[in-house]
Amino acid sequence: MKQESKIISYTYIDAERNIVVINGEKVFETENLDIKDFLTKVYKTLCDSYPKFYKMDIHCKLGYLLSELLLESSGNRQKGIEDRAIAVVNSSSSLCSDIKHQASIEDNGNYFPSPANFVYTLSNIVTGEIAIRNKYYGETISYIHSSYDSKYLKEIFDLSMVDECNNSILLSWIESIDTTAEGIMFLISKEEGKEGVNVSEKELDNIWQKLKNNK
Amino acid sequence: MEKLINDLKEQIIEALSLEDYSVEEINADEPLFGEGLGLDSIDALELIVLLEKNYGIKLNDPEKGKEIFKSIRVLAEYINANRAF
Repeated sequence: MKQESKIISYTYIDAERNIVVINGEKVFETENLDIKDFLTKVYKTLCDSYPKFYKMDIHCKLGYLLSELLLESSGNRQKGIEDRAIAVVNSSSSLCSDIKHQASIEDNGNYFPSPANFVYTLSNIVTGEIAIRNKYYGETISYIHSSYDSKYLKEIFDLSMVDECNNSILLSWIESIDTTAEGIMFLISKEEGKEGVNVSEKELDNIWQKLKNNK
Repeated sequence: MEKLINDLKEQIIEALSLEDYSVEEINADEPLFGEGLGLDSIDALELIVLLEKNYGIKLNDPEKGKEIFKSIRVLAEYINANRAF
């Protein structure tokens, strides 16, 4: 009998609404913090020390926090996993850092591009940050898509699992621009004996709709 | 010199996003790279930009960086001797 792949765990952060949800349960909430301050508060309150966090742009901070909380909550903290992929989907790519970079180079008389900002002007950097932190050696990939789309996410999952080197994946939608920073990350595994919900387009949609409607 | 060292500490904290550090916690004689603040290669580039932006010093020889980025005190001495403004 074919083993169904399972959603082992998921995390959700909406920095605009100042909430963190793990597996459907709101685990952290503040009020009236802007996006940057909220993400820093989550880091300081819920995560282990990792000074590089402060150097990341908003997009990477969001992805990093999603992965940290996901791995801690699911008991999947072990490092050096060679068969785990990371796939991230978003709409605005690295626009937050792109805009900052543009501002630093548009005046010829005040031309001081920041190397530390420039390194974040690619949307796939977040996958590298997570892979480096956890010493993952599997596939990492970043997609641009107009909005959260459970069908699209399921297709990405299916494609990733075609490669027999991959047995699990951190699959994520992470969107950040201006006053918005919202993301969800799933840990999905095809290994036998794992507990969780069977992964399907419908389930990926149900989880998202519940999070969006839970004001 | 002490004022320049303090200014540098503040500028480095800001430019390198060292939010875990305060001016008081940074030892001016500790190595900037490897140990001490544990800076990396991107930080080195950021320090080169800081030198040009804040002090008008253009560092064209990367080898020079190894010498002047030894510590904040060494960096301050170099700025004092070479600053354009």
